[in-house]
Amino acid sequence: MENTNIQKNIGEDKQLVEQLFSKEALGRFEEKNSTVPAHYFENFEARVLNNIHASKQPARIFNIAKWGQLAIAASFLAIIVSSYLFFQSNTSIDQNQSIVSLQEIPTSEIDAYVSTNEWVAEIDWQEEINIESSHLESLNNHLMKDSNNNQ
Amino acid sequence: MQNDQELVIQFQQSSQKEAAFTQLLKRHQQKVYYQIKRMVNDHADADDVAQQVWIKVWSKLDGFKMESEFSTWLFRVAYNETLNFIEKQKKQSSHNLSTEILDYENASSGSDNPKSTAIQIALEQAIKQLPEKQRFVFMLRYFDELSYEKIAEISGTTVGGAKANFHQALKKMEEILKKD
Repeated sequence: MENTNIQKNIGEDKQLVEQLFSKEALGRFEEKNSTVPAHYFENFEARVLNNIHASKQPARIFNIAKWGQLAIAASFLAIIVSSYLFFQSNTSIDQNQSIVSLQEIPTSEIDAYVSTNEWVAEIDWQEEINIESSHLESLNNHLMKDSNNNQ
Repeated sequence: MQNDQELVIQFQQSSQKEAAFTQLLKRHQQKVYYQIKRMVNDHADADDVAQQVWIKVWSKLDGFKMESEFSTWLFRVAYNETLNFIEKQKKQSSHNLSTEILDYENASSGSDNPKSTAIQIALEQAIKQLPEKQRFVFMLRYFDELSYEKIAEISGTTVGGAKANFHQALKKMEEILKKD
């Protein structure tokens, strides 16, 4: 009953439209909109599914197992420790080498080097030594005073 | 043969998702396409929008609670996508109404009967000049023969609103005809 009423109402509304425009013109309008390229609907489903699959592809995320994560962490730690040890040993070797080589150089050679290099020779070594020894002396006096006061 | 509701459940339960979707698509693809084509007039545009509609259906169907029929929900998706498309086109394109009307005239000029051609042009011009929502309601009522209840659900309005839209569309088309 309800459906009949709905159909009746639709029919009445359609008549109103057909009073304005001919049924033929309305039919042609619909016909024009109903024409599609050959096999359009047959291929449509495949094209939609292709688009869906293309948009669905997630970004690649690497899933690493627990042991793998530990291995990566351990190798990073090993790299850091070994590089630290490497640089430390290199520095100490350099220092030793420089001490040894200075000790091995004879004084006459150092004197000759200083006299041939003006900028080094210009330094008043004796004055520098005096300044340093006066600093040490005052520091020594100061420490002595402190120890006397404490006693 | 499974009905829409059973296919939706099958889709939502993730068992043979694609098979359920394909059946729904095959069943409704033509109606969706024609609904869009009447609004956008161009096959390539209608095809683009129709594809967008089905991609959206795929992504949103899991959340569909079956408070309405699947077809109503589907047409609502199509309705929204079409209106969005038209809105974007309006912003992008400087293509004005007069050139579109001219296109219609050129397209219809091959007809043998001059009287029917004149009516045809008048009809197409009148439809074209309707506001989108009124045009949509007019199409759904006249060509798809849908009840106002269903039209209201699709267009997200009340039954009264849908009726008013249809009659306003008729009135407007009558005015356009008188002007010409």
